[in-house]
Amino acid sequence: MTPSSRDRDVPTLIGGLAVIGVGVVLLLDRLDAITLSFGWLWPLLLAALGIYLLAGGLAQGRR
Amino acid sequence: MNEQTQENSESTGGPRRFLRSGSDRLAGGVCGGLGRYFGVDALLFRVGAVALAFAGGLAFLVYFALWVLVPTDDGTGAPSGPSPLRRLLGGADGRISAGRVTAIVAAAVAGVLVTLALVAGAMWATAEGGGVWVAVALIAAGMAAVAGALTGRRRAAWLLLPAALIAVPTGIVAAADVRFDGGFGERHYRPAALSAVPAGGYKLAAGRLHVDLRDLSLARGTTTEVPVQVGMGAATIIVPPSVCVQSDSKIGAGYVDVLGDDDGGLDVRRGIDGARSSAPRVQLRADVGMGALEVVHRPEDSQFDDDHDHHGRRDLAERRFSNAACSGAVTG
Repeated sequence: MTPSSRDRDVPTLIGGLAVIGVGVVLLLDRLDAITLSFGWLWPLLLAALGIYLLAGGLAQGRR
Repeated sequence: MNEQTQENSESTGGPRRFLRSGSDRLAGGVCGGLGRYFGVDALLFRVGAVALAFAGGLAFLVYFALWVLVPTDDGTGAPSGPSPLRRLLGGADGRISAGRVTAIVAAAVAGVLVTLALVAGAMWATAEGGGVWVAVALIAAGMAAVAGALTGRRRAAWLLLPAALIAVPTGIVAAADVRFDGGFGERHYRPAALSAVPAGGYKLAAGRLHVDLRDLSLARGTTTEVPVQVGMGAATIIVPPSVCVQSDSKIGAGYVDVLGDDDGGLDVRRGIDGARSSAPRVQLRADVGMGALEVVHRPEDSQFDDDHDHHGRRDLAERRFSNAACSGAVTG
């Protein structure tokens, strides 16, 4: 059974994508493909948190 | 304002009650509630909250406190129920029971222990070289959350909490480039000859590192490479005044002071070069993940040691420009 768009948990979807994004950045750093520094880390984590909170707020407002 | 709201405020005769907004909200409805309470656009409070968040993070604390302590507006100016904190402690009716509080405290203690285990485990694994697997685990958790969200499984949201608890410390260890090589604890080295200086340099995973180079016999016009790597902790390098110190120091998070040339903060990169004298040189290549590094002429000049008396310690101003051998001002 395919869930309708109403059943989809948008904040978790966005949060999951944000976690994947952070994980990919960390993976690239550990593989020496990029060099992660604090100058990049804080904006990355804050952006991920902000996107998740925005998605949660917008989804709640739509209900 | 409807009848019920008028009744609420007129019957009590007291000040208006501040409530979080149930409709105008991006997160907890705090800014929406403040906007309605003061009769201004909530956007002003949101912009202010973001600005304050960058000025020390106090806004996060205030926002969180208001979120858990203030009930939500039901749309008529009255609270829709108890505050989140009261609902947590007392259930839907807001009545606080000893049994429920005990259960919550026990759950909180268990939560703290699990959190500490996740944070410490992620930091340890990343610093030990297992960061790739931690990152892969994060990606897997994110994919599971996405799959759960797409198939309507609400419990998938709980995957995000441990993922965040792992992501933040892993990111910090990765950004500081902390590596656990060389053991733990306190290490003292005082090489008497160049052959005693390890080719790979002095390494310490976490703890306190002392390297005293005063017994080395260094010839004029020569350069001796001294690599130093500390994952977490402090390193003190002692060199005689007759030696010119050139350095390339990388500190992920912390402080560096090379004979008075100091800097601190995040992503610190500090170098000293351009020596003009023919004095013997030490080329220091320091890599500290989180912690501090100092180069001094005497052990009592160390800023990190408390085990010797401080009477012989010179103050910071006196230690300025003490790398005099590089300019030829000191001869050995």
